[in-house]
Amino acid sequence: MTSSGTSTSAGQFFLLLSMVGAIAAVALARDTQPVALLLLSGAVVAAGLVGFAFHRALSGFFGGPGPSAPLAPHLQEHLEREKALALRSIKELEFDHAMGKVGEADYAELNARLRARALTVMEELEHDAPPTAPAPAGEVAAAPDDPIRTVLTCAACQTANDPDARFCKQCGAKL
Amino acid sequence: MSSLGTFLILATFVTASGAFAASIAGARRRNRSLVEGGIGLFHAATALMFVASAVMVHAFVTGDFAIKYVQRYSDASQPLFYKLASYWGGLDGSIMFWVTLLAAFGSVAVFVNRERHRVLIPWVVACIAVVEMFFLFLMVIHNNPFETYLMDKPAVGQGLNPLLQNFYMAIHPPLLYLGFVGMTIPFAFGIAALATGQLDDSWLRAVRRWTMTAWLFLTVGLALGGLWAYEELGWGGYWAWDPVENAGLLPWFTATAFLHSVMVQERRGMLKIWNVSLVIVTFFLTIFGTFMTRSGVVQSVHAFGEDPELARMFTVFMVLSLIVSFGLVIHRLPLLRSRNELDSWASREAAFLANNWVLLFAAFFVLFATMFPTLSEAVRGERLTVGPPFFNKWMTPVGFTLLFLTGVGPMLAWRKSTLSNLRTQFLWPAAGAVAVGAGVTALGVRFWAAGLCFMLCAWVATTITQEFVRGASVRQRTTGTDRFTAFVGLFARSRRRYAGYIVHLGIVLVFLGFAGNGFPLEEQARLTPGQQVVVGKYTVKFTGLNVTDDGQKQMVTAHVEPSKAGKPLDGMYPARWFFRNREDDPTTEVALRRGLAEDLYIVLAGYEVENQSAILVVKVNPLINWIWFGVGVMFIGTIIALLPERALAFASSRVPENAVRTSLVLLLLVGGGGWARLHAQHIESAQTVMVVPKSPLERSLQTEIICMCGTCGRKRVGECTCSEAAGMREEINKLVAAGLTHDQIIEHFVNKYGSQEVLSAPIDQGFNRLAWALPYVIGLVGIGVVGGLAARWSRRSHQDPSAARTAPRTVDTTLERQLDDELRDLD
Repeated sequence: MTSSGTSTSAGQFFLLLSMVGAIAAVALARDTQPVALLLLSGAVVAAGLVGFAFHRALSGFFGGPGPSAPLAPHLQEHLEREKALALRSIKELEFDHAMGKVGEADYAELNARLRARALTVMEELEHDAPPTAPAPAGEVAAAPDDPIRTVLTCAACQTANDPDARFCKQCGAKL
Repeated sequence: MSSLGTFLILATFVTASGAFAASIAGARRRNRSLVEGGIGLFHAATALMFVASAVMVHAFVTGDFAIKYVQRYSDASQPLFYKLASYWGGLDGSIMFWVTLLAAFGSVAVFVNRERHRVLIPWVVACIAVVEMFFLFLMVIHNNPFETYLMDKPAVGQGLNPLLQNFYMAIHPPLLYLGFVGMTIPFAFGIAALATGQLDDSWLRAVRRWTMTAWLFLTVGLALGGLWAYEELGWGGYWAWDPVENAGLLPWFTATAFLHSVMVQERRGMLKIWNVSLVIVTFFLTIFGTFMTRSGVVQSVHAFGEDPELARMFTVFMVLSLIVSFGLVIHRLPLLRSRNELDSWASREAAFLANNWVLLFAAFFVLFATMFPTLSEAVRGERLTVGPPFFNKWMTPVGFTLLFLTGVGPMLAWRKSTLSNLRTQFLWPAAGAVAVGAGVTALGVRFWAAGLCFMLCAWVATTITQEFVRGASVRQRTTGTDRFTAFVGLFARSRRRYAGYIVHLGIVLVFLGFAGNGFPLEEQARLTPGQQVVVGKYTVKFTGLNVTDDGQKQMVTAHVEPSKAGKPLDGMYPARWFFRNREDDPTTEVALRRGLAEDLYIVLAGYEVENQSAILVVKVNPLINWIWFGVGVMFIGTIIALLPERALAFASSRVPENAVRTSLVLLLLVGGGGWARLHAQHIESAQTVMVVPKSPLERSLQTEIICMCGTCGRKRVGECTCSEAAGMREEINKLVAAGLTHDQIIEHFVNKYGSQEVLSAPIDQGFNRLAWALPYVIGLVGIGVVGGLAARWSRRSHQDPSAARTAPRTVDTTLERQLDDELRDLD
């Protein structure tokens, strides 16, 4: 995503261009069947789309890296999801219990287990999950080329930096 | 124009390969500009395909007969709608249409997920680009749709095959293709997850909706195909287990399995390897289906003809894609190990496991039976037919098992249901099934499969009703609102689950329609004006023939006055149409009177203009419309499940409310309509009036021997309406009259046609025994494997009684309170 401003104006430019092209094509065409004219203008507009797509593709190569957002969900998000899952499971268990599918004894056992799980996750969340802490219960043990762990985020301006960088490339603050 | 088209296809190929290279390089070097460039090129390829399609459509509309493809599949007198449909009427165009749809689908998927799944996207783009490249390569090398006549440009087109000039046929292939190409998206995300190693359930969240959409298209596409066969082909059925139909069914089975097992991974983190494999297999089957229909490997009515070179290219692509994808799976095995265990056999996880196994068995069986003739020819050089009886024999129990499980699954709780409580859960459904069974027996339904089917339908319908009713009353108790609000809230809270139940309800209705197959009535008679034939409650009177012409075709129409139980109905007009340039294969225009209870289906099988006589085939097909109606219900259910979360967030009281009303109406229809129809069935009485008396031997022979005309899709002789079949029927009649035994007659036909191809199922002997034995073997082995795996999982949990989790720990009371608060807030 290069800055949305330039992208939009380029899109408008190509739209305009293709509309002008379509008008010209229709004016010049000898075949005057209405369906053929519609198709012709459709084709020219589609050609404009192609132009826009190529513009975006090539600007991707020449426009430099551009401002990058964090690449992958953080570990914390992961824990949040774990927690939501655990809470939902408890709710569902309660519902199943109320529906009469799970007996008292089983309900007590399963409920205790799920609550313990939810509490573990909440505890980890509370400690704000130091990045080195292993994910709960071996979930996605750090993928080898997982970019989460290989990107350094600047504390001052949130720019992602290379893992071996010592200073931020955006604001120059020490990492 | 044609050179422009060829150029565009070449340009798309180059662009797609650029997208592939840039994405892979960008992903490996973590270079954002390369990745962005790859995405841009990917969209550019899509746009180029659209331009190429516009060029192709332009050629069809303006009638540019210099292009071979246009000349072969279009002609000037065709209505505009069918000119457009001609685009996908042949092999080359359908490949091009396929790429266009894939590109469009892929672009939308990449655009929607570009922020959320940033890491996966480059790999997704690369994967879809490779698939596009393969098909583009086919077009460039082998099947260029823009190929032109070098000299002698013809002035007129040959026209689209008249059989395809039907509304359903014009929209059925695009829908089926959408379903097929849609399955590429989950595959691409699965491969991306494998490649990046991000194998948590984030890729599943990205593809769930896409799989559901593709599944919906596939379902509706299959149903429309059935509807087309029913209305256009004139043999009175909707599914003949033709290889091309099976090609659409195979990925449907595996996609259905995936949609179920994905829930297990979402909730429990189990079955990771399984889910990835299912996605890969589904994709493989879509490609394999295309391969089957386009390479002439199997014989079929609507295959596109033999083409060994195409077959070779497809084989290379399929083998490569299998090696790469399963290679990645093996590479990532350590990450795919599941972290949870099966708590109990009586749990929903276990039910899903069983359901997955049955669905996979169904897919494998259909694949095996479809390929068996090819296998037999390769191994023994003998052509065989594996016809509908063989499929029906095997698929009926499979279908019943699935239907039974549909009723069991919702009753079980996740993790563990208490066995003693199950008795109360199953009380009502079992009572419902027994009641319907007793009622059906009292009404005299003899055919056991139909009776069992009715019972299972009642079983599932009661289960679902019970789930809705009990769920609403539980919610009413906990939230303290009135019943209706509770009902709506139930839907808003777990929309996917209850929408899924609606889809199940649709399945029940479809099965209700299948049950009607058990007792069709049929008569065939040669009538002169004024004569009539009686079928069941209907009396069909033939009044005369009429020949007309509308410029595009000549139409021979029979005028028929039907009446039901003495009451006259509107006139019906079965016809045969002879299209210009295609006089040799006239189309059959069926006269159809639809009804909820049964259809009256009249075909003009033959005629003699000189003495105004006509051969009419009159069929009464009970319950058949419930199939289409059921698919409609499945459609509604899937749409509800697909509604975005946001739509429900601000309309939670509105949208589900309508859905509830719809489902209530449907439930009423099932309950009320079902009974009305059961009363309407007359089972044996139809045979009291018969035009041609048949002995039991002759009847059974008519289902064991198939029509050899080569165009009807290997219908059984007793069902086919062509003249070849009529001749074969007469031959059987003579042989029976001559006093030959069953085996002698079979032998006579095998000798006459030189192989067992004339039989609807291979004789159980020698090599053919494999066809009969293998399904058993695979079934048993599969049950063993699934059971063994499940046993291992559950043993793991028993040895280690989750001590780590329930171990006494210093319980933080503030956290406990916070948990309680959050639980209360969570609806």
